[in-house]
Amino acid sequence: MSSRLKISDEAAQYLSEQLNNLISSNEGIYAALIISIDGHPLVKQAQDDIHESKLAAMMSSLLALGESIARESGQKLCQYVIVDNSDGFLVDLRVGERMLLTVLARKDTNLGMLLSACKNSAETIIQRFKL
Amino acid sequence: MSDLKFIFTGTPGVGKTTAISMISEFDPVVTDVLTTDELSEQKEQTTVAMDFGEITLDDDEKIRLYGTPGQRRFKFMWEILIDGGLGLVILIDNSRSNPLEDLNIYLENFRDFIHDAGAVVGVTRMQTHPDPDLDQYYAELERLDLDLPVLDIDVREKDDVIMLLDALMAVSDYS
Repeated sequence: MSSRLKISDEAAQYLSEQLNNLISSNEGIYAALIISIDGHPLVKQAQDDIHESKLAAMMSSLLALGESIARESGQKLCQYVIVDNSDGFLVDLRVGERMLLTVLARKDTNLGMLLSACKNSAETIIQRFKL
Repeated sequence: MSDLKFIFTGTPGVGKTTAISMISEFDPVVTDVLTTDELSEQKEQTTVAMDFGEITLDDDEKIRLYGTPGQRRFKFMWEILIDGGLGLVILIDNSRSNPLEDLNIYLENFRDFIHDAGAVVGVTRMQTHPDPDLDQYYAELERLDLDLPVLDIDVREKDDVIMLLDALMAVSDYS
C-alpha cells in the first residue's frame, strides 16, 4: 500500500477537524468520512460503528455512477448524490479530483441545511489544499 | 426475444473495459476514476462501479455486456452485476506475479454463478509472458474439477473478444 494516496499527519489532522466541525454544526449528522475517489477510506469521524472500508468502496461506485448517468443525460460533472432512506440520509459529495466527502445523517435532519453544511466543508477543504 | 447478459470480470488492469469497448455497438458506459493506490503504477484510471455495452447477434438477439471492477473491495458490485447473468468471462493477466492464484480467486468468488451459468477464461499478455501456459491453466481447472475453455487473447483485438463470447455461448445455458 506504499503508493496509496498519501495524506500527511498534518493533513489528516486538518481533515479530522473539518469533519468534527461538520458533525458539530448539524446535530443530525452522526458520521462523516473523507475517502479517495477510487474507494479507499482516508479519514473518519463517527459516533457509531461504521464499516468504513465497504462504505468507502460503495460511495466511490455511487458517485461514479452518478457521473456516468450525468454524461448519458448530456450533463456534466456530478457534484453530489443524496440517498434518501426511510430512517436517514447519505450524502456523497465530490471534493476536488481525488476525494469524496460522505456524510450520514438522521432522518429528522433538514436536507437543505445538511447539504449546505456538506458543501461548505467540501469547499473549505478544497481551498485549504488547493484541489 | 430475451436479452442475454454476460459479465466480464478479472484482475485489475487486465482490460475488461477495453474488451467491452472493442465489441460494443455504442460507446460503453464507463465508471472510471483516477487511481490513487498502488495500481496507479500500472494505470491512471480504474473502474469503480461497472462497464456496460451491447452487441447484436446475427439473429437480432442482443447481448448485454457488463464489466465488473477488478479490486476485491468492490465485491458488492460483482454480486449486483451477476444477477440475471447467463455467463462469465474471466480475464487473467499473465504478466502478474501469480496468474493461477488470481484465477483461483475469481473461480472461488464466482463459484456458484459459474456452476449455474458457465464461464470462459481469457488469458492476456501471453506473448510477453508465456508462463504459465494454457496447459497449466487446464491442469489447474482439472484439479478443481472444472471444465472451462481457456483462450489466449488480446483484448485490443475485436476478433479475440468475439471468440471469447462464442466460447462462452457454447458452454453457457444459451445454446
